[in-house]
Amino acid sequence: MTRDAATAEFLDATAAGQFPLRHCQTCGALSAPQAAQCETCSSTALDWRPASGHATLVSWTVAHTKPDPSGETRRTILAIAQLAEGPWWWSRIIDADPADLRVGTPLRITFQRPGPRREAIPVFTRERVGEPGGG
Amino acid sequence: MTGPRDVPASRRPVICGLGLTELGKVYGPAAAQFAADAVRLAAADAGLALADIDGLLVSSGVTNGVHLDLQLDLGLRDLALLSEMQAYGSTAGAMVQVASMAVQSGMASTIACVWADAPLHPGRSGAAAYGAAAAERPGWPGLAAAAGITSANHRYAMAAHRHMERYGTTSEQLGAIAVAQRDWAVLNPLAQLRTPITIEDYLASRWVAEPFRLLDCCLVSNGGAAVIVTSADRAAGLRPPPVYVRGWAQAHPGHSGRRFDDFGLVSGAATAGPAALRMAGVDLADIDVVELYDCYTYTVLVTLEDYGFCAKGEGGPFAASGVLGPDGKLKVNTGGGQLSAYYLWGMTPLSEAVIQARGQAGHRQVPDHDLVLVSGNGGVLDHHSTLVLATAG
Repeated sequence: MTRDAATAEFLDATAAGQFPLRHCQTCGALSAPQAAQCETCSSTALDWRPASGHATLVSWTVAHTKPDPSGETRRTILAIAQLAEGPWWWSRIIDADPADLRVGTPLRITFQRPGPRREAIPVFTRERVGEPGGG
Repeated sequence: MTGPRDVPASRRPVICGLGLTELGKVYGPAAAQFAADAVRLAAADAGLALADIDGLLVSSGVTNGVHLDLQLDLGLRDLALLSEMQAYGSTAGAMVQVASMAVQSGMASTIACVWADAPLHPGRSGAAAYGAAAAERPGWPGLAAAAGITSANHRYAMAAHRHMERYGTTSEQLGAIAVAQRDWAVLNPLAQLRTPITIEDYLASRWVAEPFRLLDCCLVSNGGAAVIVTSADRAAGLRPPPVYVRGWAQAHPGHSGRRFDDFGLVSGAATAGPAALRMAGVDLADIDVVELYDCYTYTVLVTLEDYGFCAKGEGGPFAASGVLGPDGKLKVNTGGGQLSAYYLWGMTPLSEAVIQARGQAGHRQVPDHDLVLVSGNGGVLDHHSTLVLATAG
């Protein structure tokens, strides 16, 4: 992807290993990073607050590439998760077996760069019991 | 709302012309050429000259190739109404609604509504045609694409999967919709896929995005479609049987995908359906034919629920009960829909609705066809239009 004016601050934060949410200076509510106005009170006085990185699974799909000549497909788990702070985020789940996933499965945000000098993309990983959340 | 029942009978809106170009893997014409052909065909179907048209509403598919200069391509002078409309799969219905309101008000008398697209090229798959747009987008959509969410297939699959997790809907139940629509397509000479399929064929088709297999997903087609809306008194002098636009409504739930409890579980049909029926002065039980927007099998399932043909959550068992298909008691997507016939966004259900209402559907004609319910759906259950069409005003 290429950054634009709307995503620049968000991507600066993901580059530093943080997932930022929009924080309303008027009512204090947290909104999704894409929000241009507070999702609770419509105020445009927004700054950023880091999310905890904890999330739970809302829905998911196992996406398959078209089979190659040998019939093999590449599989990617794509998901909607609800962050602990309320907003949803859509991304892939790395290192999970689809058979282990349920609605409400605990997830944690981590970051992947598709290549050198590429933006840090937030992705989900399974929350391991006994391991502190990232963020 | 001021519906057709509130205006003099002479001013009630009627669909008097239908034009369908050659559809499918038809290479060569650009979208604008398909659009111009569709309008010419619709005018000829109605027995009108192009010069009789005084309103034009245009809309594009994924290649975004139909614009206001279609007026010039068609040599249309002194239009009283001209606009480009875009609400994705709900646009066809929305254009008929705007045209109907313009006819009722007297703003324009004879309005062509047209959609066309040409995403297919020789040697390139439909998925490639649609995926190309997503690959290197900037900003928030680019971020989702970089995470792997590159296709409507993915978003609708998550909607359908949410329904399965919530209500216990199964693959076999989605498959029943694909099989029933193919059975209709077998009877439709316009359909691209006319070989019957079984539930075993469905279950054996390759995964696209679970729970969707290939046979859950619509076709991709090149082509164009147009309808002409005029007043009842003007339609009375024309050759085709009049198809009255008796009721209409839209609904745009506004779920942003950011924090919305009902995402994937309910569509705008839940509010627009009852509103359109109310305008028409009819009940759901009066409906003879149902033409539903079917980008995926699941879209049919959720729309059946939201219109109230079954209770919320019971769409799966309902679809698999034998109620669908040519031998079923509910006549749904009688041409095979976008899954098996042709993919013209909202023009697919609308065109089949007009054909059925006129009684011109040949071997697939539904004997009782006085009232036809038509849905359009755009985005990921984001935009909805409903029309109630009728053989009488």
